[in-house]
Amino acid sequence: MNSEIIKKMVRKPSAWVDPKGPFAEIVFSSRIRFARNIQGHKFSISSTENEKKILFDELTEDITAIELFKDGYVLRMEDLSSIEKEFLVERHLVSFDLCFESDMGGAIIDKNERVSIMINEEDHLRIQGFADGLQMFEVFDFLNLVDDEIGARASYSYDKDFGYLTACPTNIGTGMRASALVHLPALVITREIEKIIRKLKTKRVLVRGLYGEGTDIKGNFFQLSSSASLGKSEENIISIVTEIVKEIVEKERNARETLMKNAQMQIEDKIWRAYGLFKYARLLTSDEAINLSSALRLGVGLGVIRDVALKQLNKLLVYIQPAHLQLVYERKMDNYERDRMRARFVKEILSLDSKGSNDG
Amino acid sequence: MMCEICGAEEGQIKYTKVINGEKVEFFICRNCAKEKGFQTPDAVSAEGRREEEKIQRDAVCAMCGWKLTDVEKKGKFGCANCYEVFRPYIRNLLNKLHGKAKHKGKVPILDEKKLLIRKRIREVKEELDVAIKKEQYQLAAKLRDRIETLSLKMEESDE
Repeated sequence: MNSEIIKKMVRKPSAWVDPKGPFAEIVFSSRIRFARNIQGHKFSISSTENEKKILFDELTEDITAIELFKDGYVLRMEDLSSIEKEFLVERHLVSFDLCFESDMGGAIIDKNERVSIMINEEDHLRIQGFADGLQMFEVFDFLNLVDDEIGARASYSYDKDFGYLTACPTNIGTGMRASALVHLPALVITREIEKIIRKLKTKRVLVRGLYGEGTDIKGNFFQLSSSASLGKSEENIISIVTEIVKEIVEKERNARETLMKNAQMQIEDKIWRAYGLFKYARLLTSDEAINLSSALRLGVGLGVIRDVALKQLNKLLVYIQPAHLQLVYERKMDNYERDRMRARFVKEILSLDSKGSNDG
Repeated sequence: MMCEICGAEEGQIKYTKVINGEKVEFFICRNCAKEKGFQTPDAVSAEGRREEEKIQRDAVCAMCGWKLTDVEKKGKFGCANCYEVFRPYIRNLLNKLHGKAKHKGKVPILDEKKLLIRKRIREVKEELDVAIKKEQYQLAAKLRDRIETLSLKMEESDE
């Protein structure tokens, strides 16, 4: 049952891979999550596996009764292979901890993969919503409804001073985190990025790598997220993050303009070389592929490259990861084999025309 | 569990006393803890604060069994009740993390009536499973009707 679900997911990228939202050429995705715990149950960290199982069953019953999840996916970690778990992590649908800390974790995901609810993570529930481009308020609107619907079925732990009670005191209050994944190649080339990151830290905005907590900056992707969750309302936090992202988008656009004014030939050379390498390489490591796709993304954003669409690049960024590749080609692969198939996959995607259909 | 001294409030704090050389555990509420000579967190005297710290040090959360040392070691809380038991400590910690802030933002929608019906449905479903296992089909049919009535009630309260 579970591996059938995963197979279905492998065939279909998450809905938000199709970039229609505002600023999509710079903002890859917007994400919001709520941390929630259920009254009368100990937090995961102090619960036994059996207690977690009971809670999992109760919550699954409550959540699958909600319209959005009636044709969605219910996944139990104990039923998944480690490659299938890594696949979900690569899609940002679940966290690494959920997969490998306990067998009693799981996730309920709607079929468009706009909402993913982790059960028995650090908190009983981590309700997450995703969208393409900069659409924080849009995500908040649909996620808020999901939160209300779950809250009406299971009673949340809440305190009028502390807000939503969470296992980690840094999440207390709204229990919310709003984040955006942004692509800032021009700010990296002009080295303005260091100054910007220092400034963001004073505004209590966290800056992290492509795959979230504890990951390196790769392919000029930066994840910006809110840190304060007590003393500010959800809308307030979201508008602060949105404003900051907009400012950075503006800076990135200006930096691109400056680059094109002062070093157009060098920039175009860098982009076309990356395109050539990407298309004709026979072996591609994950890091190399991410970096090449970054240059290509810049090329598409600048209008230098016209026969590749952002949608293709977004899909590539997700599918060149190890678990995705192995599930697409339906076999276990070592590093060498993965590098070979990654190059093949990239070529296949890039040879499609920009509308996504094959031009032969 | 209710407080083992006054019986009027939730006993959130595990209080250990040595009686005749034997360790005896009580679950008591904050008010009774105060009356037993433990001072409130807002008592300004240094002695009061030390006393309060001492209670916090000795307190054990009645729900998850954690002590303050567990909280400090893990940087997390064991359950929602810990926020009651270690309230002064948490207040202090939050002041450092977030400033003297209080929660602003959404409040969970609590529909007590509905929650109660859901709980009841869950119980009846369990009874139904047992009845089916024991092949008590007459009882099972009754329980099924009961679930249906409860579900209807639930929908009515939707309107």
